[in-house]
Amino acid sequence: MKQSVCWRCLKLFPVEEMVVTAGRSLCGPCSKADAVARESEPVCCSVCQKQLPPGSKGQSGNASICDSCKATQWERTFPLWVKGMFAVLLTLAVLSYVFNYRFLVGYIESLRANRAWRDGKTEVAASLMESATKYVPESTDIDLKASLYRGVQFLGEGHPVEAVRLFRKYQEHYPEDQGINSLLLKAEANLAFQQKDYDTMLARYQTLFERDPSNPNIAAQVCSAFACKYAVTGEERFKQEANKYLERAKALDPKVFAAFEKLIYYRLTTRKIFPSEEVGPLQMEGKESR
Amino acid sequence: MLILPGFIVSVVTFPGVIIHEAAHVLACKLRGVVVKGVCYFRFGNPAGYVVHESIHDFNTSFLVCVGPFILNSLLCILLAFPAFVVVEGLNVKDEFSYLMIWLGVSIGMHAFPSKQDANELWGAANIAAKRLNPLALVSYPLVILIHAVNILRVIWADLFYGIFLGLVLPQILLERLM
Repeated sequence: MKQSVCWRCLKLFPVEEMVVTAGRSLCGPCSKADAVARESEPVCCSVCQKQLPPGSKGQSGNASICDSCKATQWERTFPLWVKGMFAVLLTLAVLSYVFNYRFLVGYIESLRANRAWRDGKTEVAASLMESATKYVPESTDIDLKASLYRGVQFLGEGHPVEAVRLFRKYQEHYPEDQGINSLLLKAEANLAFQQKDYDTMLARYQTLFERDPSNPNIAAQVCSAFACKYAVTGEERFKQEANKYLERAKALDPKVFAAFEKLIYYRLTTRKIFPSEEVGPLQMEGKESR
Repeated sequence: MLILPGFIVSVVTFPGVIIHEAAHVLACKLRGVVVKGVCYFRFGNPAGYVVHESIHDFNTSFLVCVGPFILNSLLCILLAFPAFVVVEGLNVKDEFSYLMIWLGVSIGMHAFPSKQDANELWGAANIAAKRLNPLALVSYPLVILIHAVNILRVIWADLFYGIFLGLVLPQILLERLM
């Protein structure tokens, strides 16, 4: 067991029983006596040595300091330039929050828009992102995202003209983005259908199918395009291609097949195309294109 | 990995050095510890220092040691957050925001106590731990962490901390809250 010598009575005591006071190790009884003695002995300021009232002691058991020296210490240890620097930093911080307030609001709106997009709420996402562009018109990223989200909404609601315009605006800045390229192809195919340009419609859907041959929806759209071509031209090869892609869509997903079967059967037997048949709400997954 | 002499890093990030020393002084003032001398910044190693009287109370030692960690970290977040939104969040070029990011990251880089601070805390913890002071017991792993960070400054651990506080943490918090 480790022992230590009491500074006052010079006797040996276990270390655990010693009390350290003002840098001196004292035993229990001596530490109490020392405390009483220190209460009554004159205390001097550790800086100017001026005598302080009896019983004075510094905070936390440290050295004592008179009020005058305390004030001087404060001035000396925090010179004017340091206080000035703090003031400047706080002023800059306040100015930053004041001048950038619209950026903060715009950014928060954009985060909420992205969350709505991930949750599949396309219209809400588009509205929030457009709201963000009002706060931060200089942000190209926000403006483009607003175009993307609104474009997807228009595409789903059967307004391909507006959708194509917005997607092309987005694609100008991100030409390598495969997501926007696919969306643009879909929008152009829908637009071609509305304009009765079935060759363009077929070409767009075939391009999409080449990129994603395992997608049953796209297989069904290719089938639909061939059926339109057959309805217009009456050529058997288009009918055969339509049936081939219909079987492919069925093999990939029977539910998609079931949704399209009646439409294609009607088109192939009557050779009639109704404008409202083609464009239906597309299942957007709500994921960002970029 | 770019290795720069410490004094060059200190010169480039001098606001952090000043705030670091000011935090030590402020903690001393709050706890009534006499400050015998202070150098807020100089071209040398160390770039700044505070000389104070011996501290006998462990809680005071702890506060004086971790004062820079608290003050520098808070100032880093306060200064860098709005600038982060403009530059990183919205990708808008703004010179004022670049200045604020430099200020914030510079201050955040100097949040961690120095090796000397850690050694003082270790010595004080050794005495206080014998009286089972819970803060003293917590200080041991903290001192090890401080030493580790000081060693890792060679690979810019302090810079990564400043960037994390000023630029990464706000994004994480905002995305979770929104």
